[in-house]
Amino acid sequence: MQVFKMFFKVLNRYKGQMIMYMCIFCSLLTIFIKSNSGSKANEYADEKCKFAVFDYDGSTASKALISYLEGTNVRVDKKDGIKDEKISMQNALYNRDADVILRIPEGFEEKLVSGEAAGLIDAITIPGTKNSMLIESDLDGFINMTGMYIKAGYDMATATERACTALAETAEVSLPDGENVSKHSNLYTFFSYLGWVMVCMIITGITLVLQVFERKELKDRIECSSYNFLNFNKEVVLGMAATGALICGVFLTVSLILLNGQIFSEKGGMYILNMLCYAAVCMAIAFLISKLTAKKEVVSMIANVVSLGMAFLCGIFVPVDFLSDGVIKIAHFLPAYWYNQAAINIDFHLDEKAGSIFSAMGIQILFAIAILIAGMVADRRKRA
Amino acid sequence: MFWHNFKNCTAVILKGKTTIFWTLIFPIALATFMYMAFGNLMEKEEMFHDINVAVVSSDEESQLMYVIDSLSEGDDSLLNAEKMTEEEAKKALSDETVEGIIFADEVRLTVNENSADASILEGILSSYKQNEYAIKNIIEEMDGMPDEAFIRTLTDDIMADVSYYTEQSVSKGNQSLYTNYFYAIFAMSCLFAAYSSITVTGNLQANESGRGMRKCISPNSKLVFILSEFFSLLVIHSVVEIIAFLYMKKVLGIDFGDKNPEILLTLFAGCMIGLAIGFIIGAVSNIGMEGKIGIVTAVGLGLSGMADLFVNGVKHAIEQHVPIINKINPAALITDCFYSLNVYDDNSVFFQNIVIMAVESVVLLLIAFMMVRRNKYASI
Repeated sequence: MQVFKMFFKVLNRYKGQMIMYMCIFCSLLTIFIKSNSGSKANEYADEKCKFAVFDYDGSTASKALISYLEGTNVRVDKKDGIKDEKISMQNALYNRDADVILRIPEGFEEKLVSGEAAGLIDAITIPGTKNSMLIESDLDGFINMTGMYIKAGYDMATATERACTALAETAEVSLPDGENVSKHSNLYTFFSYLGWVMVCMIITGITLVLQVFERKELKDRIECSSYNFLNFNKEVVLGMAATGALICGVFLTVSLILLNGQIFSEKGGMYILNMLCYAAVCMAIAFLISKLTAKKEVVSMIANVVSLGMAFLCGIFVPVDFLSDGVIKIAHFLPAYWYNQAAINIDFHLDEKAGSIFSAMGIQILFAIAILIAGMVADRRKRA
Repeated sequence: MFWHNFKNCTAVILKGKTTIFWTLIFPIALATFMYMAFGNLMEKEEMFHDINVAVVSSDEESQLMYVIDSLSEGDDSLLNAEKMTEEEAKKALSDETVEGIIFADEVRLTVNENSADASILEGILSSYKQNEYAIKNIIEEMDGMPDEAFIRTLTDDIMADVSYYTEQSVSKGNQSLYTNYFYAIFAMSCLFAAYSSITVTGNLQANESGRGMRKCISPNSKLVFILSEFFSLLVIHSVVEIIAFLYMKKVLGIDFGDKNPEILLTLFAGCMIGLAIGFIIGAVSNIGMEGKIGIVTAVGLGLSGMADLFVNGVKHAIEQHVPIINKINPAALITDCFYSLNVYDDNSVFFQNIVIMAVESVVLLLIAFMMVRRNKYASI
């Protein structure tokens, strides 16, 4: 098992990059899992938008308006330190710290009473966004209602109070019967992002080792040695498989730690099966790249282009619903798409779409075989 | 001697086509993938478009139907309402061809999920109920029955569609948050210029390569070697970045604003700092080439990750909690240059970032020079 041992000796020299990708993956996963930790939405909840407000009137009307908006939306200027300065507003709006920044001018209340309040409040926003529309409609609703009560003869304090009571009336909203399936589980998030990082790790690990075996002097020495050619190839393949298994093992350990043993379930078993199929594809890609280039410097760039490319186009980084039809058609020719489709179906429709899940896994294996053959052809051509 | 080395280094880098090819292909490919994925995301996710809604009603003449019809007409319409039977509406909702179903008789709504569109639909129905409640409430509390003219005034006010705000924008630049990813691609691509400089620095060290041995025994100053090779790489990588920029701007049509000379200066400064980082990593003599490549990858990805390459908002979170990191991190400085050129009217933040990058580059180059000068080798 000389070659097998040598495989891991060389791999040991390149473990740094693999560990680095693992660390990036774990950090990202921790962020995503924390942000995804809320319970699934089974009841309708109104969308709350973020607003900042600068009140230069300080009147009963302006205070009541702010109080109403604070109840229906989220006020952010105090927490995020947004100031009534251009740069501060530019930063707040671009970074979505606030959806709208309101400026209530002096004399607002008097103009409201005299019916001249139209267009009076400055709403600084990114024009045309849904969130700005929501706050602006809340603002219009309150002022309109208060104005109506004032016209009916109420004083400002009573008018704003009655307006708030009227605005508390809401229409009944329901979600369709059954579980809301718009939110993915943490198990899915973990295995979906695996579709990106596993390619990086396997390419940066295995390709660099295979490149060493491809070095001319080393290859010539091995070929003229008494070591059986078949045994050499067997041990290299065994080394690749062992590396793949090792990486899968590390991922499973990480999933145990991050997801508190959720992996011990029927869904978990299917995710593991899907991961093994994808690992076979990644190893085939690593093999192909080792036959296409002998430059160590470019392996990292190729790994990033291949992994990030598939992650963006196949629904790993951006949900498939947001991708255009053209992109989805292209994605059908990439193995990560089938990996991700299997993961989505495992998450949402394990029982109903078991056939599709196994088909997606089968397609991944076919991809692995096709890529492996492409690597062999590239090798044959190089030798010729 | 400077020009001689400059020419030689340029020839070596250009002849080793693979590295340059991938340095160019890398940002172009990534930008293309990101554009395909994110291209229309702001338009789809954040911008308002008429909401497709199914309406189930047994009374075509009801007040609510009148409101829905008026909101579905004209240039400033909000809804794209279609009258359906309950079964048709449920099927349309499950096929996601409509955002919700309005049951006009009961003033009730069914939506697929919590979203801004659902809230807008809910707002329309709630507003109808609120106005109805307010008018009843006013009439009830008045002494005696109010005259018809007064009630008409109230209903006219409701229907008047008066806006009490004036919408303003504070920036003319591209407001899509997803543009941050493209800024981060430039940051990573500039930092990955370090791959070239570790190769070149390897050629300056006798324990790394044959060329290094020859250069070490030559009478030339190491400073001349470093500077000539640095400027040679700077020219090559700046050209690579400009090609990538032109591709993103002209072919993909990404909106980087119209301050092109400042953007080119950003890319130039970005390559400078990327190369300087590579020189300092390359100058560490007791790490092999594989180790140096690993460090460049880790540094490039790590710093770019902190500048929004993987997850949008990381840089902003750092800015809010530990802003000094963004003032040192070269990737954050590069993305901040793009950001400030896009969003701010004046260039003070941009120039501040450029100066920091220039100072960092000079300091790193000087340290690299100190590390490689007068190296002595007991055994090679």
